[in-house]
Amino acid sequence: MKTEYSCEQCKEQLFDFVNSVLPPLEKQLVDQHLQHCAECDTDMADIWNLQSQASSWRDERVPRWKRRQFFFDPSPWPMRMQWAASFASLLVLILVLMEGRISTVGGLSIDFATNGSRYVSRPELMQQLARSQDLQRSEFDSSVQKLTSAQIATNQLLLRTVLNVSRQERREDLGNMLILWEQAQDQRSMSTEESLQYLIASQIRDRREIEVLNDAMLQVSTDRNF
Amino acid sequence: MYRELTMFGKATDEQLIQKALAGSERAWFGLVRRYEKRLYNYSLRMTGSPDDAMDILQDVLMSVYRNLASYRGDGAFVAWLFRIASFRCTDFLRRRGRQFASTDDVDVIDVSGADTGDGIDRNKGLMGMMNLLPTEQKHVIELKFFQHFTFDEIAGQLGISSNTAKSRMYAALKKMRKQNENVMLLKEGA
Repeated sequence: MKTEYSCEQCKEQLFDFVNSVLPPLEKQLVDQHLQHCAECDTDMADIWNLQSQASSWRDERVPRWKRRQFFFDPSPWPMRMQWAASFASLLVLILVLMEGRISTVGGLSIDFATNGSRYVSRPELMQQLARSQDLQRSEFDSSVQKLTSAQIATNQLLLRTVLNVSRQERREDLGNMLILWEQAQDQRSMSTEESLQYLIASQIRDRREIEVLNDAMLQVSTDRNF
Repeated sequence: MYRELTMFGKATDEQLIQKALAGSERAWFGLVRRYEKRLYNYSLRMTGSPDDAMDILQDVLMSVYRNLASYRGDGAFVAWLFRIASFRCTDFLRRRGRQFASTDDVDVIDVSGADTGDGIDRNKGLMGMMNLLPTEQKHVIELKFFQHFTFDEIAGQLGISSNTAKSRMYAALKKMRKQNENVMLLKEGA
């Protein structure tokens, strides 16, 4: 017959107790211990709580990632070609050093002018520089001249074109004005004709009225004489 | 051969490993797909950050890929995998200097989402709770409650004794209980 469990013994079995995988005897012993041990009882509640919370975890989806590239092609080709730049630099350095002449006479000096090269003295260099400056200046002047004449020709052409266009536009405007003037003249002569007709008609009417009045006056004077 | 194996059911880890070691990319990706979700969620709970979890996942898988030949097959592959994952996670958290960062924030982290709310809230709540623990306790909780390893297996993976694993678990449970009580008090006070 086993005696009651201590806290230590109980805690060893507690996880299995919560998961109901303990043999009956051990289960009974843990049960008995829990009845009078608040601390172990709290631990059991903690295990139970966390277990139920853990079971409610919803697995999150793994973000998309390029597995093949990650394992078998970890870096894109430009990255893999990084050595090429270093190699090129090294090659250039070797070539330069091969052409160079290192001397310790009169202090350390490195000279890159070898058999194929020519030393140039300072006055000679100044002369070459002056010649090159003159050449550049004359080339510049001729370029400016060419540019100026080309610009003048362009301006003349532009001016001529503008004048032609303006002349043509003026001609068109005059033609339009003439048409408008003729139309206005026609309209004015028509209205003058209408006015004259109206005037003549009103004069004829007035004359008739005067004649009627004369007749009437003659009639009245004749009547008085009688 | 791999086709033949899969025709009659899932290939075992060992079969996939043999094929992968023989140069089969397909077998290797079979292994990756089989465990990546579990490893990602493991890393997510350990770090609390999806980006960090992804970094750890890739780190662990690359480490497994490089050391696959050294897997002797004397234990379960998953245990070996999680041993590497635990090591990488510890290393990662140590580098970030985050393993004890949470202890200062005990009073302000709301882990109530672990009890209520939808899946996302529950996950966040659980991550918040895990984040309160020091790395060594976090490992035990993770391996016991989420990966369902025995205490002996956990001890083997973490290089500690079974009793140490148990005492770390109880210490972690106590810490989480205290945190829950603090949150409850705060809520009542509000």
